Amino acid sequence: MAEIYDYDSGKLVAKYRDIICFDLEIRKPITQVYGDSATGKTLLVNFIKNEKKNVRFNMSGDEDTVSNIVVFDDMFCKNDIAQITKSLIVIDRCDLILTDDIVDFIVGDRNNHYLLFSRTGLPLGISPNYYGEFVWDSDSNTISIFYKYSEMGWF
Amino acid sequence: MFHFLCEGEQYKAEYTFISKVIEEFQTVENFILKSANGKDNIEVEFLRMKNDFNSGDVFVLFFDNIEMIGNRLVVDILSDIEKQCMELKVGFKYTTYYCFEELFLSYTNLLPMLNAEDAVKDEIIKIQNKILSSRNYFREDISFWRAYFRHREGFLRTRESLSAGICNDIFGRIKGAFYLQKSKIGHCWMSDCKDTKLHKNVCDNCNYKLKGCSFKAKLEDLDKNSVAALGLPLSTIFDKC
Repeated sequence: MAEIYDYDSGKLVAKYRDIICFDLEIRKPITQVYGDSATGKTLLVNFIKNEKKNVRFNMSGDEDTVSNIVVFDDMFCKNDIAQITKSLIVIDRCDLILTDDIVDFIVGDRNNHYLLFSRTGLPLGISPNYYGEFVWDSDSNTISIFYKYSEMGWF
Repeated sequence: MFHFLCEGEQYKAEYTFISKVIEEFQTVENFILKSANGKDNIEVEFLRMKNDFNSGDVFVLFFDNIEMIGNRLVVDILSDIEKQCMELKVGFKYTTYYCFEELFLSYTNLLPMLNAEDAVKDEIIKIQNKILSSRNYFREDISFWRAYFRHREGFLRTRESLSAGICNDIFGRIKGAFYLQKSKIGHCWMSDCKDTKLHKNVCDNCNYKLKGCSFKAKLEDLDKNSVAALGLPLSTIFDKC
């Protein structure tokens, strides 16, 4: 059984029924994807949520799992994430649901990786290298993350 | 014409150093250096400076720290400035170190100068290796520094505050005027050795590899052996984009 998120490399590959593929290079430990709606952020969140509910969406293949991914898309508290380790924590609608103490926790968390979605960028003590947006390649029907900045001194 | 904007306040360490760097590498008659007096004012100051831009000019932004603090994100500030410069056909460059302190903290020729315990030196080497291999040391194991600064927790708040804390603590113990604090920077970092006016004994006992050299030689060495080598070397600030 393979995880769709490879914790060591930070790569997430999820395919939805040959219709669309997410091929994401997540910059550890925090990647923030922000921008307009309808770019695929919530689509990915729903993919993972449904997969967790065992609704088969045939992501990368029948053998693939999402056990090292945890999704939040509604209000939650710090204790909900405090016990999680070695996982990719995906949070949708961050600009609406993140409280100050959760932000503080995320900034200091060294046990997980985060993929944060929001309409606007949030200050999380990270450099411009960690802010990206989803881009869709129509030829391959693949969504990936475009990072505008990749300065070596900013990692 | 070159337009330089320094995030740091006028007469503080970053601005003082940058103004000396500009003076040293100046290759054109016309340039202007302004201070933004903090990240929140970068865009305001940029808009003021923009009025004097002409096609073919170069705008250089010196960050004190690129961490996201305050209401505006650095990534948005950069994108907006880049876009406006492009529209005006003005070249845009920016410093590529994480924060001003890391320019010096990552300097590999620092080690022989340090008057510190071996354990501290070992940890500095670890930090330097991580900076120079694009790894975020603050996000990895900083347990040594947690213990070291246990009574000064403010230094552990952010990556910038940790690097500033380390520089503040260890640079002041280097023989000569190599201190580095927010408000001031030792003149050994930014002058010819012959001009430092230090007591002869101090200079005789100096362990700096560039001992006796010019400021320009020191800068070029810093360029080659620090995080500056990974992005925008200081010696290239007057190069056209």
